[in-house]
Amino acid sequence: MQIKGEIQMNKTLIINAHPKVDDTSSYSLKVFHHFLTAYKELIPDSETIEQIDLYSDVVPIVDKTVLSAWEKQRNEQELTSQEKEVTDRMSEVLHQFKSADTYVIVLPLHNFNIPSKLKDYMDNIMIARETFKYTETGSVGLLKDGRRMLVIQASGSIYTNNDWYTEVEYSHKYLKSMFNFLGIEDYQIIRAQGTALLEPNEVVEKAYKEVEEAASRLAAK
Amino acid sequence: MGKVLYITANPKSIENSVSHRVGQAFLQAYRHSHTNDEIREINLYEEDFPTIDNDILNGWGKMRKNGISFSELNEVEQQKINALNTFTDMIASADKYVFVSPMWNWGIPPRLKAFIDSFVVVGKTFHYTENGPVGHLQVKKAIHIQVSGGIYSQEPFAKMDYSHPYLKQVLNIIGIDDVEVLYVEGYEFDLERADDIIRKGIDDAEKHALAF
Repeated sequence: MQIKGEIQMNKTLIINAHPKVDDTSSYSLKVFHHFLTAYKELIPDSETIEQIDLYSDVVPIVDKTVLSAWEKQRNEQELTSQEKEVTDRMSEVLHQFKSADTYVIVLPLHNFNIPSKLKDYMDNIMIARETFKYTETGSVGLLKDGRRMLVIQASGSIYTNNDWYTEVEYSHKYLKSMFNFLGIEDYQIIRAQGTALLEPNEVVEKAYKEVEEAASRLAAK
Repeated sequence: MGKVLYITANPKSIENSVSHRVGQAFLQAYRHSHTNDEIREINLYEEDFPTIDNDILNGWGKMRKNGISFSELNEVEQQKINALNTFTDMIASADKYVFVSPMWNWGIPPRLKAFIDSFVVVGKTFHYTENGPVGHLQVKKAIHIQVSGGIYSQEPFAKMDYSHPYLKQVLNIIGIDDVEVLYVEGYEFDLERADDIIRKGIDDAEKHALAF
């Protein structure tokens, strides 16, 4: 039997990918706040919750500066102060991600895919030798220690009727595929969907019930 | 005379980037064979362009949900929506699109997603009907040159490609049905053949350019 030397982690990380950040009119944020209220009531005091707001906190984009810094790090050269600042922040973002064991991502669906800042975030946390590694037979995820992921997504259309919309739901397919690859097999998505077609309040009410159940499940461990 | 937009999404310099090198080869061959066309180059990592943010979402929300007119929006919302509209119209006025992008973590570079959100806009470049979206950019065409270290044009890893199929899908949504793809791929997993793969990519790009 393998004994884990790590300290038991009890951290939930909220990854808010909504450009409106804290706007109360957003359906996904409404559903998320409902989740958070329910979840906070159920979790023990030892559980900590952290939140990163991708549209107001600093999430570096992989640009010229970052690429140049990575190149220098490979060659063990000294970084400029600007390169150091941005790679330090990237490490912070990565380590915050790795230090949690439960994740909640909140996003609106824009053009069938994740918001661009969430892709920036993915490029900050999908780092070789940190969250996955290359082997001779392909890449392998390093987060296979029972982490859980809940995705809360709001959309104007409906994506669960096994039709054209199901085909083009790149957000869910991409996130599920990436987190499964990293080792996070416990992945659930809750959709507040059809807000452009149905009565929005009914859509939100239905999602409220689903996040209440998810909150109980996740709080129970 | 045709208007061509050449859109790249790679922060690397031209010498250090396979996608830039292949893209530039395409562009040069295209220029020689289409001397009357007007070509505009946009590097999404060099150029600033209007992107969707809180103010734009709020402005749209007020107009769509609350029936407020554009002139009643606040100054910042008006300004940003105007800038976005001008940009979307400029992009939509081209006849041909050349996209050159590397694959990052099995998806597109984030600045390309931001660009798509500024280009694929309900009411501007497509609208919804009961049968799904209908594009406004018909009779146009595009080519996507996708550059990746691994091989994604065929199994076993084709299902991990969330980059080209997505770009093709959104271009189809706005009405561009004619989307070619050129994969320049595998050069990081077969280092001995890397130079050959890149050279072949450049040759293929030149051939595609003549026929585009």
